[in-house]
Amino acid sequence: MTPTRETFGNIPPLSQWLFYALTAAACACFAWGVWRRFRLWREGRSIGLRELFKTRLIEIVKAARPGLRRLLVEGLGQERVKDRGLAGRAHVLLFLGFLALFAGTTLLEIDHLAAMASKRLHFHQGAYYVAYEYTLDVAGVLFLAGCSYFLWRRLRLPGSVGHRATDWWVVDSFIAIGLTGYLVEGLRITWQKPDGIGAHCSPVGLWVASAFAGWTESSARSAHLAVWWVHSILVLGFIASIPFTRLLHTIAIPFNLLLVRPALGSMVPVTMEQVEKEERIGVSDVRHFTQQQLLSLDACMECGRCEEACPAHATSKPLSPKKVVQDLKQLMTSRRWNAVHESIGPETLWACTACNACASVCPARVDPVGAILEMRRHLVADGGLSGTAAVALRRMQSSGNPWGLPANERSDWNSAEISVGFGAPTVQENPDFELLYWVGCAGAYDRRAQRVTRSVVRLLKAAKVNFAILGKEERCTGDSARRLGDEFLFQELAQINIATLARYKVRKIVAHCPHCLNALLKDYRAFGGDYEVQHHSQLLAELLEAGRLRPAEGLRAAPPGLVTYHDPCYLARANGIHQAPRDMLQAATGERPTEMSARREKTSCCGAGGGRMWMEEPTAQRVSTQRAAQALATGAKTIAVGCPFCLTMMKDGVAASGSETPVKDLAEILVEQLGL
Amino acid sequence: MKILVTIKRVPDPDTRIRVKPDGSGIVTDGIKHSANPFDAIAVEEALRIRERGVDCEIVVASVGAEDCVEQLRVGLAMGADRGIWIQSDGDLDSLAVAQVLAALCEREKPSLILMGKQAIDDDSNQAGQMLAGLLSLPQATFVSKLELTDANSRARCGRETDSGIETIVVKLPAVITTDLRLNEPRYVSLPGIMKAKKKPVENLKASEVAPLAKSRTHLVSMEAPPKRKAGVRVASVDALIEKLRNEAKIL
Repeated sequence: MTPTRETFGNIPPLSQWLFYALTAAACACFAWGVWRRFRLWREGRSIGLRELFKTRLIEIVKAARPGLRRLLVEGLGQERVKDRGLAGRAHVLLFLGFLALFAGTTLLEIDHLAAMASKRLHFHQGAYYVAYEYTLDVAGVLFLAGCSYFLWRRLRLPGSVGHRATDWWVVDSFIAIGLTGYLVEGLRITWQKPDGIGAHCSPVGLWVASAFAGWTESSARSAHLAVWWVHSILVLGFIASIPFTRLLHTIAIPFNLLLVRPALGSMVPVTMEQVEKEERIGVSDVRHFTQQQLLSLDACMECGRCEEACPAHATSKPLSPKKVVQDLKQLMTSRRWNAVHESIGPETLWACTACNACASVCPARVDPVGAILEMRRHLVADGGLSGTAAVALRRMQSSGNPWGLPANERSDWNSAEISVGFGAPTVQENPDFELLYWVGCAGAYDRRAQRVTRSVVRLLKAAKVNFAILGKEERCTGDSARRLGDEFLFQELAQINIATLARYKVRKIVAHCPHCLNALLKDYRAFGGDYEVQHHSQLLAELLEAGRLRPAEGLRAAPPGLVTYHDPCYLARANGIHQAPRDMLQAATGERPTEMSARREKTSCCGAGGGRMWMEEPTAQRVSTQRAAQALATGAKTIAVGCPFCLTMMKDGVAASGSETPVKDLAEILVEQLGL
Repeated sequence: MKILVTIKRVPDPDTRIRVKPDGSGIVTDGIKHSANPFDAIAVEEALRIRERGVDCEIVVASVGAEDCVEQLRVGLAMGADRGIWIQSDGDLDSLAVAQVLAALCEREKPSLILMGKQAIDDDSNQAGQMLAGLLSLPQATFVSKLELTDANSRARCGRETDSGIETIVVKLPAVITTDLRLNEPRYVSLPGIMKAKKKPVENLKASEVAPLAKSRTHLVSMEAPPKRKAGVRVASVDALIEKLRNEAKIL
């Protein structure tokens, strides 16, 4: 006999009709719930979907391609979910199990309808049936294993996981659905008594059936019908509850993956015309976010990875990226649109270092940083910024640097170097330069960072690189201004710099400051500044590789001992540059740097990003102290950094820990090693 | 109640000032100007009084040439309601400014006059005291803590003195001049200044407001302080003591 089983076997017609009626009701409830959320998402600023759909199909496909790829890799492939110890893996099990069971049930219904139309279309039999039963039997185990882990985890209540009453329904109903599913199968096998291969294709079902070995067919049949109903009602209840529980993420995440435009380190510019038209800047109303941003609020599953990665949260500041997202979601749900700044206080928004750790770790691609920076824009325009950061912004405006030092002293560091033959030529002195060295405000004015600048110049000269600096014509890139929320101060500085760079026909730039690098590379593009920008570590690694930088004979210094490298957020995370600094260090010292656990894209902030460099914070709450402790714990004899802000912060952090371990820029270490 | 806050246009505190070779003043070419920082503190305090729930109108006033309207706009962008620009050609000394402001106060009848304790350009520290004298009003100077009491009829002021904080209570109307630690003024961004452009700025003439006001002092010459000599690093405490005793002769 061909192995198969009858769909709705043992289910009387009345029950079947009742089942379909309830299914329709559950689906209606589901659709209504999703529609309610959809209406909320639609309140945001348009992302041009309507216009896109009016264009040709090829345009739509082109626009959707990166989104579809994310859907495949991050949705189906669970790429960003799977790392997080057991929880990530348990989710993969649950997800794959669920997907197989869902697909299986759908196929079963298709077969049922097809068979009703014509007996010849019935495909739920034979080899297909065997494979089907076997797959679903195993899928059920995966699903239950995943769910059981989450139940166990929820019972242990880890701090970062949110807790709502409905969560218990979600986890418990999943487990009940899985268990009753196996019971239905076991009871079905008991009364059906399949033979041949059909008897062996459901190993778990068979095992369950063995518990009912002594049952008569009629009692198995009545029990089967009863449990089938329990199973069905649970499933339908689950479908109906999706939009009203945490399960909403199963709807919101795929759409968010499709629509999101991830851009770590980038910000959307605002024009003066926009401000004049809308009479506002930044976000004070939830509807000022885009439709995609509102959708992303529902994609948040409250897994808490962002909170765990947040340096502000780790140092007891009143910021949790998860809470920001949840607060916004709460405002959206209750339609308290304009209560944004009542709900999220300024101390929360100012605590963010814009390090992007939260955004980069989110499996659903929610971007709390983007939201925070847009809310900051409103705060700044509304007079909500004061103190040292305000002073820094005023100084950027008046002097072109956040220290407020005179613009015509920007090259003073160079004067001393010129007298000893290590001066850097300006664009006027070397008009045929190939590469522009962007010194940056710290490199020009901060005494400690000036040593980095001098090191870079010495290295560029030793490698005979044809370079020049802008000298007094360089201004602050405006990174801090933009991330603190003063978009127009940033734009003013950007326009001046872009005009200067255009005047000297600059194409290639090297910078030792990742904030300058990110601004020149990503922020300036929207304003017509398109450059090839390298971090000094990249250029120096290339020069070492090409043999253009070599230790002078007999001058090579003794190796500095163990070195650890702290990845700057705006280099490693926002721009993916983390191998070059390591290559460079290894070439310089002959040893691999020892690593901290938070490294490369997963680096931990020093505390200076997002304009926090210019804000005071109590010693106990300093992000730098925490990061320095991690670096010191490696036992390194030197802490290497690749950013002047990190240099300041790590130096302070090391000092606060009572250690005397030196903190040095990559270029300084190389100069020492080469004996320059 | 009505609060009048005065704002003076001064060279930006972050620009490096150079004296003209002929000693007739400072080089003003290429120098940025801003509102006197102590005046910004005064504006901020007025705003905080309002934010603490006192129903008040905040008027900012400046005496000077047309470009001082720029600084009035900053005050308006911070949150003041309207501005008064009292046009004067040529610099007025502290007393003349106090006379002009006194005439303005007769007209505006503010319950509280908030001023910076001094302007960072000439550091005279006189206008506030003179204004209070001319109007026969109580005054509290160098105020680093301010609190309105008795149904906003009195101000309890903490004054910074060399020997500590002195707390006095003045009856309003009064002149109060603000010190550095009173508050940290809010930051003003471009959209804020644009919004403030819609707020009214009235133009008066100093010669009409106070025809008798005229400067009694004039600048004779100005010179830069002598350049500080480079210091020396001493090797030990003993060497330091030796130098203090024999070279500096202060021990």
